[in-house]
Amino acid sequence: MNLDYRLDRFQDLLSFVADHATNCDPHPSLPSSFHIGYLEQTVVVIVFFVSIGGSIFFVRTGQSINAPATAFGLFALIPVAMLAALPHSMTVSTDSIIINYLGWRREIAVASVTGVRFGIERGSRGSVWTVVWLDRLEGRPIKLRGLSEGSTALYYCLRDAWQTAKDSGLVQAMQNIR
Amino acid sequence: MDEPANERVFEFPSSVRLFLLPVALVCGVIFLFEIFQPSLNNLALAAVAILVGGMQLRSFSRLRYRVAVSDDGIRYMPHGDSPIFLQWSEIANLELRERLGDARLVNQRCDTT
Repeated sequence: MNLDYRLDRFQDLLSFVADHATNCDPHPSLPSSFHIGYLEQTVVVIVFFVSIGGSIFFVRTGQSINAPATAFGLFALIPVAMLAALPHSMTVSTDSIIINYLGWRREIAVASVTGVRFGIERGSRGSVWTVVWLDRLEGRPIKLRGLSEGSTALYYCLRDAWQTAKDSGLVQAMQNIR
Repeated sequence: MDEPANERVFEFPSSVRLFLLPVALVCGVIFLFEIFQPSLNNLALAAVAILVGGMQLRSFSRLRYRVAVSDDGIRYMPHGDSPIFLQWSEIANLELRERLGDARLVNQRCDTT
């Protein structure tokens, strides 16, 4: 049975199917690690070096006010920002979710998670990809995508960790504290 | 089979189908124009119209179904055909195929319906 992404509220349908089709859940052993796909990192690094190369090329022309060199230099900041914002790896254990970024890391207590759900993002040229949203007690939901292990594996791993925390009463205790 | 009370139905937004049909119609008009007033100059355009129009009609025919989910299982309801029902316990795998733009549910007997 094939379910098309163009169905209305497809992300709700996907979350519903994943929650109810329990045989699909591989029940991964925790802690479990996820890593960013090499393709995304490679594209960002190439854009960075091309921008830096363009900037150096125009600097060498020797003009005092060098708009192209400045533009390329500023453009090189975009891949740096993208690299900083992309999660490079992630470890899910029964009590915490650790997301590693370039030069910093974010630790989220599993007990503070209020929901795990699928989301759909659509590109301007018809491309479509699945993301996993992590809803929290405080703060904005965290969007996770581009991990090489795939959205389904990530979803089930997060859901299993969250379910374990719920079963042990940690989620309820955390909500009572807040 | 009676429909459960808590069933949620998912269908295609009308905008998706409304986009496909006009394109197919325009392609059909171009093709008919070539049929009734044959011209070597417009032959390539007519060939492209057949190709694009055929693809649009194929996409349109594939989008003529609805899906309903409940606590019992998932019901696939193709237009003009009998529905297929799968219990949740019958589904063995959920495969997201982003390049093809669909999610594939594989049942326990490892065949797709």
